[in-house]
Amino acid sequence: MTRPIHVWFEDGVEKGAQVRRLIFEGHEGEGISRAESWWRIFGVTDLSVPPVLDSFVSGHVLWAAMNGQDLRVHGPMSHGGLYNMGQLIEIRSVLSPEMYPRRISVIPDQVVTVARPADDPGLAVAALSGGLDSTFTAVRHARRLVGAAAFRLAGLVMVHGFDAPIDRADQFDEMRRRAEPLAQWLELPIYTVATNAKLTGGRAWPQAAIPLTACALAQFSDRCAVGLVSAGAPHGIPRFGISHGGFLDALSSNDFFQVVTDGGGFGRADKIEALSCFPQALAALKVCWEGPDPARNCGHCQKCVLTRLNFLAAGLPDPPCFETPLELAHIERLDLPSMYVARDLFRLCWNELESRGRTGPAVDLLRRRLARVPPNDHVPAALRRVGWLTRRLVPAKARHVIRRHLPAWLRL
Amino acid sequence: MPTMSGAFILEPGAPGAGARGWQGTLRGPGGYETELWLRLVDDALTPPSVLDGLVGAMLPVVMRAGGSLHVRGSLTRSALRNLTEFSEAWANWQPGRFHRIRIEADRVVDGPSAQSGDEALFAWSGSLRSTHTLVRHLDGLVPGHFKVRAAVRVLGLRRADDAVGDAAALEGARLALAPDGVPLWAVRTNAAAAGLIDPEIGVLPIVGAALHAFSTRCAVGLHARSWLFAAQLRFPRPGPVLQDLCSGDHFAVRADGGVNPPPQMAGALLPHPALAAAVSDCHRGPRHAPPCGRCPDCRLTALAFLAAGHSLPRRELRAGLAGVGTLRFNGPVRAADAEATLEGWREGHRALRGALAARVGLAAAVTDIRDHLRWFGAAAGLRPPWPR
Repeated sequence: MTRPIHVWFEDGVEKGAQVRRLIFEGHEGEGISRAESWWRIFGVTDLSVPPVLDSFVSGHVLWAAMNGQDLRVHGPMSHGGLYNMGQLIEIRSVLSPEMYPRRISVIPDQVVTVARPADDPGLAVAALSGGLDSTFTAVRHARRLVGAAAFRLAGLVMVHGFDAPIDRADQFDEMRRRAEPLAQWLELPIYTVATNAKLTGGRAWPQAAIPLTACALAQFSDRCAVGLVSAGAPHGIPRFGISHGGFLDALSSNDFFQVVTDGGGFGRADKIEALSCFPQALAALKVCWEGPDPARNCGHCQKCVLTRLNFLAAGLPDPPCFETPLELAHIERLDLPSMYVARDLFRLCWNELESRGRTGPAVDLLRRRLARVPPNDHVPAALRRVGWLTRRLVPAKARHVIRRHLPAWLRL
Repeated sequence: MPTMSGAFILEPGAPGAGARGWQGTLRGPGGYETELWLRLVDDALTPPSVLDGLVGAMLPVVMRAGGSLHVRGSLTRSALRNLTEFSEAWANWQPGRFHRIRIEADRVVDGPSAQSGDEALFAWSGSLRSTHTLVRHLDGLVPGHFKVRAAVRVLGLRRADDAVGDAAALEGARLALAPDGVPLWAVRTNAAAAGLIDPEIGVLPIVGAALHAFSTRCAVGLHARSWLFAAQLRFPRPGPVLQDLCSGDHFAVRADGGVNPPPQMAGALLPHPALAAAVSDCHRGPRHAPPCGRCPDCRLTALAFLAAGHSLPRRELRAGLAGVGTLRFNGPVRAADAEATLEGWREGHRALRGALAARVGLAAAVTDIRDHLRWFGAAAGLRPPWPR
């Protein structure tokens, strides 16, 4: 029987910033039994403590589930939040039993009934990473592109500690500087929440990405009933293993603060098309997370090439957020060992190019590359074995002759 | 179904003399007009004044035609947002079949969401999934489980349901719920008869509307997820992964379950023999009728109980070697259920297990061969890249 992790919450003001902490005691592994996640909200000191701790705890349940330890929360939680966390753990442990071997329990000191005040203005706060998805969400709600269905945004939240490491304030400042013109144009404030939560709860990254983002958004739950996060892929694209679906994101909600995933009904090219009449928004896009500088798009990593092709599908071959134009070499260098890796390229990119009837050398090259991606590793593994045998049994000259006579598509 | 896109208007009305519930008339371009009603059976309560549920039930019709929808009545802000997202999600998934819809209403009601509390209504069709959802909350098998306020049965989701009166159609369900003290509330609808159930989207919008009809008594309604998550990984569809988009500010329609393999679900019914005996996944005949015992759904249900180490809960269910070996998987849900049943097989019935293993193995091999043929075809330039 494993011991539970005890959780306490603290709230205070330090050096002009509101600081909140979740303190964990008794977690097993790595020889450390005490850990803490903190959130520092810059420029704000008058946020009320939420009546329930659900949002903060929710960001850490997957980490606790990885440890197989129950969470004993010394503070109030809501019934709805507990149900959602139970669902989240249940689903994740079925989808990834090797990561989450035990369905842990979350046991609070008290379960309380909470509701938003009757005069709640129904405001929302939106997470902004600077990427295509979150920019689309911010623009479509701030500019009310969905009419009466738009949320009234009270602000945008950038999190320091996710894309930019918590000890690289310089990198985060660059990211924020890049996003500021967009926020000014949308007439919305940008709030910065710095957090080390990725060091604890983030061990379950990327599955913990939305629950931890919800933690950052919930800092503003006294004034906003809803935290808006953007869908990373259209609904129906299965990315449970590496990311999240809208229904999983919603499980970070509770009776006091709701997490809503937005934009799951749009492909990436759809989003670019919707933003195409807002050049400020397109210029501020920062999609890259593999490049050395988190404030710039490297232009050649998988995500950058995917986005460039999305722009191509939307009829914008030379987008303003990249410093150089798309080259065929970028597509040639994409690493596509199996369908598992290539699936995003198919569903988030190729289908959009095809449905819009795009043609050209880049499209042809992508088609050729995707056409060769095997459904699984069985046949390539068998071919590798045949190749290994052939190299030992057939002389090199004979192999070259055979190769010359093979059709191009068979030369893997 | 309407054949032209354009501006649609949904007008609410009374569901008929002496009946309580909702009625909506949808009028569209080209003189299109259709009617949907939901009548509360044996109940004296008034349905809510906001039309969240009714609009959700009618939305798929407008999504198929395209255009806009104006609601002559009130809609909560969350419902407006959720239903807009619902149409966007399906339009993105099948652009040739569904359209994004701009929804407007005479009055959009703002205000905080209703307090969820710890009680919920449970949509209960009598299927293994919905019965398991009910039982796992009854028995507190779920963290943060809800107390069961009532089970809700919807009559009229199949055309054959209309041939039988309310009392006869509900008698068996009431008897099954009685030992656990769960009241049965029912709604009768003309959705199937009026052709308002979209085959791709399914019955959820109608079931959601039925739950909404009771929202003056409870703030949450649960329905069982129709798929195992494992199925979603291989056969992606937007429906099972949508956040609970049939919800509004006054009532939340929430999905539950989707993680337990069929034998585990069957095993959880052991302490509730009356409910287990009422389980039927058969889609032939009306909902209340006994299962046929011959269709693939009936066979899979029987296998779930046998795989859990139980005897069959009702005499109509049976599973023979020949029937299992020739199971038809003309849908991803069945294939995933069969595979999960095999994986969750506890003990006994080794011959049946072997037959199921052979059937599942054959299906996997056929899929693998088909995928590789597609790959060869694409690599040779004969077919477009795959998957689509």
